[in-house]
Amino acid sequence: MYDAPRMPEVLEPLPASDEAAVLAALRAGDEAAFTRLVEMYHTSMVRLATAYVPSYAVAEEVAQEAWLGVLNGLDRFEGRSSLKTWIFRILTNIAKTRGAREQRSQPFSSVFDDVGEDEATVDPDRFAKEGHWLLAPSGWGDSPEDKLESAECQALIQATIETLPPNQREVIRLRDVMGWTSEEVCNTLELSETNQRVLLHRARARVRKALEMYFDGAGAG
Amino acid sequence: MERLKYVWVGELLQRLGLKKKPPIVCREVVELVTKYLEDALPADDRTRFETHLTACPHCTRYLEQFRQTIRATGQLREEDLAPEAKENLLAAFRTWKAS
Repeated sequence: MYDAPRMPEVLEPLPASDEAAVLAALRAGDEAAFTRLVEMYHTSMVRLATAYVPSYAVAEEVAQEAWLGVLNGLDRFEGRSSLKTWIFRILTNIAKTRGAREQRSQPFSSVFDDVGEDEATVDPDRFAKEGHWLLAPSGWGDSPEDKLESAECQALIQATIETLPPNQREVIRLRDVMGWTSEEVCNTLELSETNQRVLLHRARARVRKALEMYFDGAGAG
Repeated sequence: MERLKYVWVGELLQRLGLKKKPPIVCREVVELVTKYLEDALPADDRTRFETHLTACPHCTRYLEQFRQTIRATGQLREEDLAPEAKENLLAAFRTWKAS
């Protein structure tokens, strides 16, 4: 388990038009430009690395090493991908190598390659034999938005994501928390679109289920 | 083998639009939600999906809760950057700059 989430200021992603300026500043050794990038991406890089390596401490080392790779590779960066995607690809490459060296019980390559069994995301017992609902989802009240944004619900969502298998956890984090596109996620994690979608769907279904249990328990139906 | 042939012929007829696919049921709908939201369903499946929703308040609710789940997940914030990590990285940056 990691520290409980705190609420930092929101850092907007770089608009593409800014990317050239950021690159020029970095190449010129501008510390402020580097700091901004680190503030935007470092925490997510460490998080993502935890899917490949056995501990948070090693993940932190991987992310630090990735930044060195970024700095040393700046002159070779040609802008064929976005700066963000390029940085995260450096990270996942290092994380994979490191994960293999750390000899996890599971081979590193299968972390994202293996999406697992084709399982139902809703308990099959909730459907009749012909496939219609027997136990339909109950309502979450008239305007559940306020509740969903409450600290309690947000903590529940966070905790549920933490319990997901690493591949589902990272896909939902990149897609739904960080707001990446499916293309960015597929490129960074070397996932097919189909597998990315399967992982995302399972992760979302698990979070929905946790919220359902919360709302049912709270008697909001 | 014989059965396989029928399945194949059935699929061929479906592709040619000569045989309508059966309507989808709730159990299938819940597995297609992300594919629907990503706009990745083939046109005919999308139509079957939406047709089902117009007649099924339960699946409509499921889809709405899925959307609410996605929005709520989007409210999560990453943790702050630890000051030690930032200092280490800035030190590395200065070393890189000086090299």
